[in-house]
Amino acid sequence: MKNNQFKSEAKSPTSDWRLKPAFSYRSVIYALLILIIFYVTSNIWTKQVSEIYSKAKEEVAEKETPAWKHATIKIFNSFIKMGKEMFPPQISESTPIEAISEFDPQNLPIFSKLIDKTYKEHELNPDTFKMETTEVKKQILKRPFGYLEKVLAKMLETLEIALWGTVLSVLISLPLAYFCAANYAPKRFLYLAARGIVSLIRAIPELISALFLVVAFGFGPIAGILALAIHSAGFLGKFYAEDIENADKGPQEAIEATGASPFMTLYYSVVPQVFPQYIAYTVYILDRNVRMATVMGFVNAGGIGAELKGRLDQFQYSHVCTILIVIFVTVFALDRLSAHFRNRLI
Amino acid sequence: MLKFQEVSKKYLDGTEALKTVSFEVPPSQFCVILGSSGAGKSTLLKMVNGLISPSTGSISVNQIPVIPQRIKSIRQQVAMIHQQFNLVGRLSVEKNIMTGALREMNIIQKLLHSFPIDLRRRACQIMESVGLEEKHLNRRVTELSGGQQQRVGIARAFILNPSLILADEPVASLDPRISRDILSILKRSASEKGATVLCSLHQLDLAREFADRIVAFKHGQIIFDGAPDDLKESVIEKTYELDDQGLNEE
Repeated sequence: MKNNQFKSEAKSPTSDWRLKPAFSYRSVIYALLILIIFYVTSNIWTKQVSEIYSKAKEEVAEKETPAWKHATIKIFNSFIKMGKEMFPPQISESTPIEAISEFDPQNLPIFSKLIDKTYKEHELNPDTFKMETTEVKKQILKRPFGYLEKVLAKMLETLEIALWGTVLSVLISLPLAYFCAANYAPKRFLYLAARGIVSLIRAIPELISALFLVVAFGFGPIAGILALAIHSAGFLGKFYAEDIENADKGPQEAIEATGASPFMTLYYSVVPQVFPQYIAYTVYILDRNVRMATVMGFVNAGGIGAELKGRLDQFQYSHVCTILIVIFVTVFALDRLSAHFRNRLI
Repeated sequence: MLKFQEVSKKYLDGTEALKTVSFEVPPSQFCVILGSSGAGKSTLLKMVNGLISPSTGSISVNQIPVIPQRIKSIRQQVAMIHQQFNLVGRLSVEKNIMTGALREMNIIQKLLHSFPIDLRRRACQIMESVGLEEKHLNRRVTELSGGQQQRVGIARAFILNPSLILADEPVASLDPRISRDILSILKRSASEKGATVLCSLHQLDLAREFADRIVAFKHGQIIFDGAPDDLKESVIEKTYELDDQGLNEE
């Protein structure tokens, strides 16, 4: 042994050993490639910036203000205008009583009251063919928390869509993960098929699959639930499978050696190891599904999204503000709750 | 009776772990396999319960050949104790011991972790015999010391009274005092149940103290097979001599 060491030292003294440089020519090439990719793809936003700038230049042609300053002020003003319209958020709701079916004045909802309001209505007089303005008195049911209640009810529906979407995705992805794990898939073709399915369903965005599902199931939450379930199953199937593949081999070998079947080896040696990670992934997917369920309504697949889109289309920013606050509070509360739940389980 | 007949193992990367090894281990014997790292000890042990298949030759346990078709009946008679304990960290001591008896349960009991009461009682008895107390029963194995974890490993191996115990360097990561305790427990439990033990070790003093017989390996070949008292210094030097190949591997 010593002879060998001396021999190798004689052949190549440490002063001659080749030390690896901090940067190789390869890293420089990679860095250049990344810069080129950034430069080429930056076209996507630089084009719009130059359009904004040239428009601002035209607008300030006869003024002394520089174009960049004008463009910046314009952008800020748009935000300020929107912000002003958003606050205060809409909490109450007023509905003419003729728009309420089976209205019972003796049985008003809690905190609500009836008020009389005069409206100006413009109508075309069929005799004179002229527009005439008439004053109409209407009884209005004013509910001080009416709009908030409506948004909360929609948010609850959104949460239900997210929850069921997550439950279904877990049920789909658990068996998929078994076949997607190279070390447990019973046959090579089953492994490839399962991996293909997982990649395919992950590649289709929820909103796209929701569009198709709405055609099949009609407007409503079923399309939303299924769209979320399918897409999330793609993620969970991949995450679960990779954890199975990376689990410590020692306990698996020990349980296999006791004569346990491959499934029981997985159940007793891998599942306890990957359980905390599975909880973390599932909670993350639930959190993500809540956020995604809020936009499912954009394609009429249920939830708060339809209300949000409707108010946005009508530029009713105070209503939009209420919806956004409710979404934020819900997501934040869920995040805290899931962290607490995860810590308890792990 | 454990029988190796001209067993060889060549891995896909070309490493020859075993070269035409033949020997027999009679019932109730505590046989220690000695050898430096890479001598083929672990390969030999893992071939007995079918975790690794031999390239040539045959192995039999109580006249049953170790072949894929008979692996179920082989594993009913053979239990294994591992160097790194190989316990399931998030499971309790009791559940880890019960994983050694999964084949005795029906699918519902296994899926719900609802183990039969007679097996649970047996687990308690074995725990006591290996020096674990009731307070350890529901603790996660990761909360135990190395020595205690190996006791759990021994209890798992003995839960179904196997006729052959394979111990792959069971005390490699333990201090000398705990190592002695663990080997005493292993030897006592085996002799109480009449089980054969095939145990690979690095520690010469422990091998001399506990073994009924020592088989020394060098480069996948037997260089000594006999009683501990017959093990000469020259054989020990040859067994642990570091040569060119060993140096390159290190």
